[in-house]
Amino acid sequence: MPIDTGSPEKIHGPLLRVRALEKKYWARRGAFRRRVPLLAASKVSFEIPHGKTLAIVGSSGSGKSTVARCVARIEKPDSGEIWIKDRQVAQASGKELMSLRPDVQLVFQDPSTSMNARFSAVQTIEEPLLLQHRGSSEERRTRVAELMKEVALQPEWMDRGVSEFSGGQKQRIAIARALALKPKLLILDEAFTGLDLSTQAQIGNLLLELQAAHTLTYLLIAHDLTLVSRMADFIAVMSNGEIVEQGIAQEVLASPVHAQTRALISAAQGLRSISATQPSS
Amino acid sequence: MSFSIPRGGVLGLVGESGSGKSVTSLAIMRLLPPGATVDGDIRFEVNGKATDLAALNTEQMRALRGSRISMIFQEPMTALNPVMRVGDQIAEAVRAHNDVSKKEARNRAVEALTEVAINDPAQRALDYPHQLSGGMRQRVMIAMAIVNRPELLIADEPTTALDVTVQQQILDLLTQLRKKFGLAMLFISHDLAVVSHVADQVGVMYAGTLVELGSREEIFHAPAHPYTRGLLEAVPTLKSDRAQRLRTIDGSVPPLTALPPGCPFDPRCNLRVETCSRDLPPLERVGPSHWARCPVVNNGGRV
Repeated sequence: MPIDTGSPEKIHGPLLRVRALEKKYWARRGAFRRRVPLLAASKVSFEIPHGKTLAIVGSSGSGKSTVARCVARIEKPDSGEIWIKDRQVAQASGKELMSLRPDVQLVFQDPSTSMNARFSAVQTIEEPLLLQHRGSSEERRTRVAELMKEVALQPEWMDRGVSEFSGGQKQRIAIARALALKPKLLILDEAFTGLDLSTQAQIGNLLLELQAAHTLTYLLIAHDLTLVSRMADFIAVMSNGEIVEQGIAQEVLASPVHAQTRALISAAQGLRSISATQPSS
Repeated sequence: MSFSIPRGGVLGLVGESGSGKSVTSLAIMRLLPPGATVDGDIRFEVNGKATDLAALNTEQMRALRGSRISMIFQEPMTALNPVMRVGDQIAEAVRAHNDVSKKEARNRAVEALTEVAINDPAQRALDYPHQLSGGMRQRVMIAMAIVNRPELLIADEPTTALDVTVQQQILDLLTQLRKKFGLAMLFISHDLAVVSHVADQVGVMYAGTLVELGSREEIFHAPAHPYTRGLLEAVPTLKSDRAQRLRTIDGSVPPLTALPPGCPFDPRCNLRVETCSRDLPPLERVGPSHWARCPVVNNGGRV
């Protein structure tokens, strides 16, 4: 019997709505090592329509990963609302949180640190199924084979250790693991950053194909606009914990308003593009 | 594998992970793990006198390393000692190669921090690495690398872990230092765009082999090897066009333990001819200062 991971429902309106999200961390500062609050995310509001992609971009320390971690509910926000369809999950805990996990999955930057190096590919990919008590061992293997095919890995490799795979292949395993429970929202936190150029493009194409095939909704987190600009429908720019500009990707790129957006675009056009004629400054 | 870098010149070495870029740099530094063997010679010229680095003994090599040749790495946090003030770490590098007092070494450390444009260098010298931002840490690494005025700086992915805006600052700094001290650089990166901004000469590596070498103009305007062309096409540009697939090279790099007998790029190549799977083509001249390892291109079959 195939594993029941729920049937895709028709959803109208936004899949994810975030309202006035706020998250503080405490740091020790100054000569007396006083505890001072650091506002990592402040008044953050956005929404992503079903099946679309929002890219949150900003430099390191701008709060974009904090937002991603709050939406994935690895972190509990201090205040604000997070709506996944019609469920408010900002303060969910225990069983409620467990029932949220299948809907929202996260892919991290460095696949080798987000996986147990002693696990085989099949152990890595089936873990979410195990945690959610889905299927027998036989059924899980069948599902893993299916998932591996979907991310263009050969199912015959499923018993190999994850350390035997290359960086790009590991990221494919991480994506297969994230897809195991048929999530509605996939959060990709700098999922391209450590990869080689041609591998980045391969993973980008794979994500676009998967999105089309399963009507997935993506939240992309990146510091480099170049690749995400090819994948996103909407762009939000963060700086010092706040969203300083957001809108339809083409419009944000064509007529940026905020200085931070302009800085990111000029970095993308300058450093991130090939220069063969101009002498370097 | 053969290349040379003139005084004050920058050679960019590009290639994907596992292509042998870092192994090349570690071979020059003689830092390969025991068991690795290096054939051929590595000639390094100090004060008009050429030395073969591969033939030096451990002591002689240690005297050069960190003084005449130095190196910076991708992730400064793992290269710096987390429990030692950054100023003391730089001073340690000074005292390892110069017979100077602790006070003098510390002064030179602060001077080096000034050189890499760190504000309030005397105060920052007392900081620990975790108190600095990623860009500042990379500046500290560079200060440590240049404090003994080396002739050659090997930079292994120096900007990869940094933000795009900080990347630009670090590259500008390296360019300034190069001009100021006549520093030659071996700049290693998987990022063609970054290399195109700093290098005068570019070498492209694939699966342990140098497949193309040429001036920056030749490599980026008239790439010869099909692998280089594929890489250049895969460089993303700032466009919001979701209708088009991203350009890529199909397939993946063969593991070094299972290299095909002929050209390593043969299984992924769209120009392949019969001999490719049999013999590794030689590196042949295709332009004034331009070499490529491809029989199709070398026979004038350029597309």
